[in-house]
Amino acid sequence: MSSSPLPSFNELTQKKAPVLRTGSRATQVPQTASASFTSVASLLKATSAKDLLGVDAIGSFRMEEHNGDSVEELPKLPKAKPRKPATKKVGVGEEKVAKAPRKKKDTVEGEPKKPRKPRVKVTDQAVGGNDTPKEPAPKKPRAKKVDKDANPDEGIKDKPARKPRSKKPEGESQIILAKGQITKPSSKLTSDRVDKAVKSKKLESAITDPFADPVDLGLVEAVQRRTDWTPPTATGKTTGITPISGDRLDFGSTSCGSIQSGERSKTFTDLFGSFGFSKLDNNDIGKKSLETEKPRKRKLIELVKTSVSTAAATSLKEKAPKKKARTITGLATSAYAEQEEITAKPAPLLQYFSRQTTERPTNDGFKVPPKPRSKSLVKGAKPKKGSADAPILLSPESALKQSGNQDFVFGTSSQLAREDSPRLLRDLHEAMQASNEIDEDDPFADSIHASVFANRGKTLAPANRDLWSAAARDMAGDLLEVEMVDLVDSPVATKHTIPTIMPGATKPLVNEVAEDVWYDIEELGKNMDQDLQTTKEATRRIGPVEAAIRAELLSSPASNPKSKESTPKKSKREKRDKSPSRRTKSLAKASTKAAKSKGVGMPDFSSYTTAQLAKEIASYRFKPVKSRDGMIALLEKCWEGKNRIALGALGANVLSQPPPESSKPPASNQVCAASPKRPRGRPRKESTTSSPPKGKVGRPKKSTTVEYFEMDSDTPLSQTRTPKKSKKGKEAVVEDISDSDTETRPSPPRRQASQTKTPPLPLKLSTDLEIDTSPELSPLSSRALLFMHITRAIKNAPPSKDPSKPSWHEKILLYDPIILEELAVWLNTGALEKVGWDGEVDVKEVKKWCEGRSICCLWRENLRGGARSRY
Amino acid sequence: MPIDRPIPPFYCCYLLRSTIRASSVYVGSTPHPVRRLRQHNGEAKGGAVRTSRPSLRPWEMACIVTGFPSHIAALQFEWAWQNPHITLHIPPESRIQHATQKRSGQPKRPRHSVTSLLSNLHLLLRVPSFSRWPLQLRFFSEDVYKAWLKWSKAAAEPIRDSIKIIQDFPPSDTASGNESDSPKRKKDVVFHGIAALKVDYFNEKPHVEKGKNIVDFEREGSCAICHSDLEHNAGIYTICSNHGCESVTHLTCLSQHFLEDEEDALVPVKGQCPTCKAEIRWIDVVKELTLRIRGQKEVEKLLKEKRVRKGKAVTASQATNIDDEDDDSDEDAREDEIDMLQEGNVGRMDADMSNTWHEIDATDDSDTDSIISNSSKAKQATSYRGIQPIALERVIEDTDWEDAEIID
Repeated sequence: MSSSPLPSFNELTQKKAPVLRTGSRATQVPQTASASFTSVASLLKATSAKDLLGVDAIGSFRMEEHNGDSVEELPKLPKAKPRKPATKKVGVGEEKVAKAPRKKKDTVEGEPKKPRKPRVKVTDQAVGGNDTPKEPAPKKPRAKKVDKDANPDEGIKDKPARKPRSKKPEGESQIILAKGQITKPSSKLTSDRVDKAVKSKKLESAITDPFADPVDLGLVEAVQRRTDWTPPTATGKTTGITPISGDRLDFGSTSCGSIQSGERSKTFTDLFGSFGFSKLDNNDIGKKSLETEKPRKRKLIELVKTSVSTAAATSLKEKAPKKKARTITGLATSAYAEQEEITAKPAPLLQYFSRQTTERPTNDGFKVPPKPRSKSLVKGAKPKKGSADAPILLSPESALKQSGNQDFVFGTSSQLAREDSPRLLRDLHEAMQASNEIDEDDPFADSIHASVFANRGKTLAPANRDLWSAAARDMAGDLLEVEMVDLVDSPVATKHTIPTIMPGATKPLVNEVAEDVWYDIEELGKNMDQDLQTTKEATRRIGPVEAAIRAELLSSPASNPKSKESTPKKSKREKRDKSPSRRTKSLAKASTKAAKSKGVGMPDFSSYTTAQLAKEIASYRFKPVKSRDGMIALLEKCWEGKNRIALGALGANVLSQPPPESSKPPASNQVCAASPKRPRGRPRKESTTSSPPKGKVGRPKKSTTVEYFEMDSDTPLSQTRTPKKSKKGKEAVVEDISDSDTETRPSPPRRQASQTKTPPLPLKLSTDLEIDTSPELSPLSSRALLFMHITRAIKNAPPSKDPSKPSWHEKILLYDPIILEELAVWLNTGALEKVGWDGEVDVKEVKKWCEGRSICCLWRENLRGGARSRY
Repeated sequence: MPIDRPIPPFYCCYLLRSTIRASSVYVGSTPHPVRRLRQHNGEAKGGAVRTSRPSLRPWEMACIVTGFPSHIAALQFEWAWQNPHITLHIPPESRIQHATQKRSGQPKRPRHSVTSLLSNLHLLLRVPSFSRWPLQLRFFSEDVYKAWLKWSKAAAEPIRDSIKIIQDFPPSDTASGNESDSPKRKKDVVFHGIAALKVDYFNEKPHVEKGKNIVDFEREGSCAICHSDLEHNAGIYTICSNHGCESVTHLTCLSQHFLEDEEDALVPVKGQCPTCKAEIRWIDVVKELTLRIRGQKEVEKLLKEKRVRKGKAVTASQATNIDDEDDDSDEDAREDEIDMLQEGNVGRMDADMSNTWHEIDATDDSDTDSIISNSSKAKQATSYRGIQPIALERVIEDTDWEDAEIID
């Protein structure tokens, strides 16, 4: 279409040119000739502003409805064009009349900025035909005028005419494209139209005929163009709501007329009516209207996208709104929303659980996806996970892929993901553990007791209370129950929050899901309460995000031991919960002990050798620090900062104890075992997988815990994926590990963090530091060593036989100023090697060596770039 | 290109102070203090612009640091003394004056006073870069010396005891037993102060003669330390500077002998002659050695001077005045160059700015200072360009301060 209109435009322009002349002249010439035109023009100006405003308003309404962007005046303009023909067609006489003045006004408005002056000029030009070329100043006016006038005087006007021509087509094209310069083209167009209308009415029929023809042609084409070029919204409207649009157009035109005639009330009513109709139509169409309304602001983008496929605008529009969610949360939730709908409907609670159980293993394997969900929803997260997972029922591979594709992390945790540091998860985990540590430490005893007295859980729990428990007022057993209530409430709150995030339709689904999950949690919580009050408390205390993370991190390891023994499923949840928590506690203790022993916590930098310190600082990418105290202080700050990231993300934790972090991993395990962390999705898996093993409460004993701990560090993921296998035993776990490694690709860091936790890294670092840095790398010691070798190399060099060519040692003894470059070259070309120093010396180091020994040294090249030739 | 000249007979950094206003001070270096002081006082061309203000003249050298083993060493020390706020020779933890203001991106040199300069001098004499240099400190003003004593007590640690501190106050005449003992070469010369300083190799003459005798007749014998045969002209041998002792040793052997107690050190300060057991300074040994192996002309002149000496000394001292001007200006320019070389981190501009104009004038505004410094800089630059090429070609035959060798 675009191609066709362009040639037509050229033709039209030629044809129109006269018309335009007449038109332009009509406005202009008449102005000179008769005051009526001028008056009309003035009226048009005055009214046009109003009309334009009204039109804009109307357009804005329309736009809002359709496009949603008030900014898009351009579409309005094109609409205005078609409107005119429509109006002409519909209400020929009156509307035309009404339009004419309106158009005049429009022209006045549009043109006044540029055209006004030109018009005057134009009038002059019109009088003296050739004047236009002489007047260089206003290009645009010329263009119009020139074109108008140009036809007769093409030869002279061609140059200026080019510009105007281009402008005109631009104006038209702009109208069609209509995004960049709305006001100008619109004004021009309107002016042209007005002129045309005026001409048609007032001018001779001959003139009007050509106008009408070109106008009509242009309008027809414009309609097509509009369809082509106008953003999908318009098309969509036109396609789906074409009648409405037409009405609106009519209204717009009528409104214009009404303004003068004072029929605005009708117009507004009509507009509103059309509005209502449009909504109705939209409603009839279905969700389109809702979608369209919502996306309005975003229409521009959508329009661009949808414009490609104009035909299926409605369907596209519907899809588009869903796609709208471009915020992280939106993106995160969007996928779930659909899933929720699907899942929530089909899945009864029981089914849901079953699905979750089945699915969860996969999720656990792909820790990534469940985490964001869990984070966002906290307790509700579990339901979400279940819902999200349940609907699709992805194969493990596909689920892995999806999880891998989901890079986002919810809320604060996402903010935490600064660089994609592999440590992030670990840090989070550690931080959470640290925060929970206090609880955990006590829990150890508790866990032991619990393990011993598995059934007695509640009775034991109060005795073993942690600070958390004390804070929770566990002292009174009743308070614990209250906490249970809180747990229930919290998920509800999460539910509410969830719906807000999700569109209305999705909300109910979410709620259902959340409820399901919630129920699960309650059950878990009940079980937990019975067995392990402390664990519950810990979980409650932990934020949803933390819990999710912990669940992810811990679930695999903790679950493994549990999974081994028991293969219970949904029904066994209670048992599972109890057992996992206990086991987790035991595990936590063991792990904490191990971690502590390993020294995961803040290392005692003061005990490091300077070389080690230097290496540590280098690991933080800091420049070497000379003073040892400074190095230690810097390292401590670095370490704190490193830990703080995790803690800070959690939000509640103080720097707290770096060492606790090391111990924390076990704690996290406990937490994971506890319902709160897992609730979002993994916990279920864990519960499913882990719960069965716990059926036998006795396991949690220390020996088992140690094993578990080991298991945890190595093979958490495998269990989640393949709960059945995990149940089989350690062997299965090992196999699982291999699987997990391969499968887990999408989220390797997390797994590593969870599996390896802190202990491995610190150990590596320490070893590296000790081995590598101690001898050479630390700046101070290494420098001292280097200097020693330099001294040795210089002293060991044989004395010169030629007094005129003393050795370096002799030069120094003779107080000769030492040229650093030469000495460095000499040292690096064998002298140092002979002394046993493998490596080269930097000239700056040589300089420091010289200065440290009162040896007068200097650079051969001075700062001016010259080489010293004499001393 | 290897160093091809002997250790200069004399090179000093001096603290110049206005006799009119004691707060106006200036730090410079010269191989010839008397000539240089005349320049500062306007009695000869080439004085520093900073010291050109008539109201501050005459200037006096309140104290000098002598014994620099090379002009480069002297210039380095001078620059460090002038710029104690930025010199890298002073470790940051012990820096007394810190760069405060920044002008044109360069730290502004703090205003100096006698006290600040003395404190920084004390510090510089302790820093590793200079602590083992064979320096001496000579005071010509009693109040300055008192200030020095006062600061020395307040200082964190004393300077190395091998740095001899000599008091040479005008009223006390030839107070301390120093080189001023034999200033007879200048008839009317006072017997104290800079005029009494020996700026030539006169003090080394006996040593040089002994060494020349030994070498000429190939009487090196064997090394007094390693007892290996000292093949003639096949090595660098030192000869004891003590009168009457003709022990010859390897340079390295003697250094090791001197450094027995200092494993890491490379530059000896002083030690006992292995033969005569007299305590000798390393600088004395080495100065004669460099004269022997590098200072053919100097030795010839020194030995020749003996005969003509009395008559020539006067003429020489008088004749040198004209040359001094050029040399001093050249000296300044080269100081800058060297300073910049040494203090690689310091910008050239700063070096130029800082170059030697240390007069601290209470009335001087920063603006005037900057102007002065700029003018001086420009002057130096021009002098540098004009003189250096000539200097490269020219060998200073002049009697009095051939040792000065200021010009590159």
